[in-house]
Amino acid sequence: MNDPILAIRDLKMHFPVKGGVFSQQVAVVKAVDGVSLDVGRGETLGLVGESGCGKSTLGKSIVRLLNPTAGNIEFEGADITHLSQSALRPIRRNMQMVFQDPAESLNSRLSVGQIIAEPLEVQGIGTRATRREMVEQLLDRVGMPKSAAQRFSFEFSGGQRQRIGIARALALNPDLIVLDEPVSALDVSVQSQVLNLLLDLQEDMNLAYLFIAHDLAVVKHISDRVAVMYLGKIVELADADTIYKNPKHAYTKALISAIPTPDPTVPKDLVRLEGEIPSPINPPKGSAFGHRISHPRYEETIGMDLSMIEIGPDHWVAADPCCLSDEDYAKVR
Amino acid sequence: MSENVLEVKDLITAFRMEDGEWLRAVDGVSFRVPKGKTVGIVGESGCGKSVTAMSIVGLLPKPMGHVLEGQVMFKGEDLSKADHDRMHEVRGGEIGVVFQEPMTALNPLHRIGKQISEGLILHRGLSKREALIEAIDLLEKVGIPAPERRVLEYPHQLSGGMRQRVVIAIALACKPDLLIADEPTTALDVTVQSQILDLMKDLQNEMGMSTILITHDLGVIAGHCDEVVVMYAGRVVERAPVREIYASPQHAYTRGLLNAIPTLNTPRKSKLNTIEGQVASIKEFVTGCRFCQRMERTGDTLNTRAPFVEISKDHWVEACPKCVDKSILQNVH
Repeated sequence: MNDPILAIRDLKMHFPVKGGVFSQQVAVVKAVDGVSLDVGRGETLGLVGESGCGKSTLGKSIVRLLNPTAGNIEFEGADITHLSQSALRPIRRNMQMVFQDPAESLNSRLSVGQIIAEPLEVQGIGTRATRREMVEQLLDRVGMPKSAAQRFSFEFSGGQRQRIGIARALALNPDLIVLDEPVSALDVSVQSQVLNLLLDLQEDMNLAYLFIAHDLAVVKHISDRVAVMYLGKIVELADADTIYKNPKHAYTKALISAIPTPDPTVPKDLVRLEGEIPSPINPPKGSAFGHRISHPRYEETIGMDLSMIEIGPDHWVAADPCCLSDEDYAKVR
Repeated sequence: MSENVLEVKDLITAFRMEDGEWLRAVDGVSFRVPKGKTVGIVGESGCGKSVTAMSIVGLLPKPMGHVLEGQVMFKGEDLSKADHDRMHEVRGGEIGVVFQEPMTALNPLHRIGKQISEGLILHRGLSKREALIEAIDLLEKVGIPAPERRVLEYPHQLSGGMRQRVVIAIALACKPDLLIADEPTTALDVTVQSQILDLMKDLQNEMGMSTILITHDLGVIAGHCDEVVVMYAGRVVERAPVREIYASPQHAYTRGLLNAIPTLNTPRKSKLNTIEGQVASIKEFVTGCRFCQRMERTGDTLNTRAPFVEISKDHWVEACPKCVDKSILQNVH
């Protein structure tokens, strides 16, 4: 990709598991285990996967709320992987995050106006009076009345609270917003309002989004490209239309077929998936997905290089004999 | 017309506030569950679907919650008039209940086997030993591998999907006539969700029981229900066989709900349809049409409650002249 706004290479985020009498390290949770992704300017990259696959951890490491164990994060051309918190401050102007649960991510002791003005204050932008004006503009931008500034976040409904969270993220006029399950906690009728708002803002401000979610229909709707994550690794990455029409990885296929269709006349040809995601503390040595479905070729994959290979134009998939059809595997081997 | 296992008639459930005011969370709800069928109750958060379920099995939070009016006819007996001891027999015996969050439904201090046996000993008079053997059988039936080992484990040792299977095993232990499942898969991942829904369907066919499936997900409803009850703001606005509700929804709210969800066929990044506004607070509910209230309409429909009418066979709708097309209502006498 030409001049991506965000480029991460082989990112790893491991957490020690402590136990025993002296709190020794007894194991490691490999939440994110070697992820490489690019996000272009004004682009939405959707990141899907089931709970525990490491998608939220990945989002948090990108905005450096976590300190990655290994790998590189390049944002607007600068390596930010190991920057100190104070060195990160100017960079955070351009990189913001919206969280899943607005009830928990908004301080209930601050008025809505104070919440939205806080990033401006931290960055030393404007005077008290100009900030107030900016808050009003931001509220208007996300479809809230100006009077909301004097009220508290708990006085609002879930959808309105998420608008407040979005207004806060927009305050510094960022180039990239990491959205971690931004509509999962909302009712369907409100969900569509917030999705429309996100699409509008992107068009007007040329925002790039990393959109993390587990609802595949929502991700498809909002994304340009989609990455599928399984047990700490990306297993497939392609243009949103391509990945839904022509998924290559067995896990992507299963995810798509498991989406409940709101139409009773559509027959179900479900790819039944047995088992559950293995624990990231002690992941299988070979193909994690092959292990889950007890694939006959699982043994072969132990010690094999299962990294992503381009199977079609801009369509990347893990070169894993357990997860590809024989024909596809022959192409990438 | 087959016989109904459950008939809820004009149910009104209210909560008494500290200032003595009664808030009607369920305000005149009627529906029925035919034998061997699955009825889905769908609606957004706060519409009263869970309170309806709690009213049926007498699990309303005391002392605030009360069934004020109406009948809950279960196999010819009015459960709203039944005493504490009788309800104790019914719950877990003739009516099984599955709640959303399997972790809170299970007791963390007791082994899985003991929690399943409890109902068998209480309702079916089995000995401890017989009950444990039956528990192993049940775990096998709900698809838990190595059940003889799992009965000795505690809930925290199981994954979310496994825990929900255990809760289903408990609910089905006494071969109930009716299963009430309140958002049984909302806390689970899509691939696990489809496993659980299929499991419930298989077991239902095998045991010939009826099910009430409460969910906010119209996709789940479409795939797994025979009839749909759409609730809005404490009332049923529409009720019809599943194909009919998707093919020709008549109430403006049902239509809005169906149009608001993105599907895999929705063009990418297109504007989604939304339902403007949000549900009014329960304290501000009008007597008349609450969807008109959301749409900020004025006039008569806010003051008078429209009758619930049958517009074609088994298709009922709240006949608000502003929410339902006039030509439909003309044919009703």
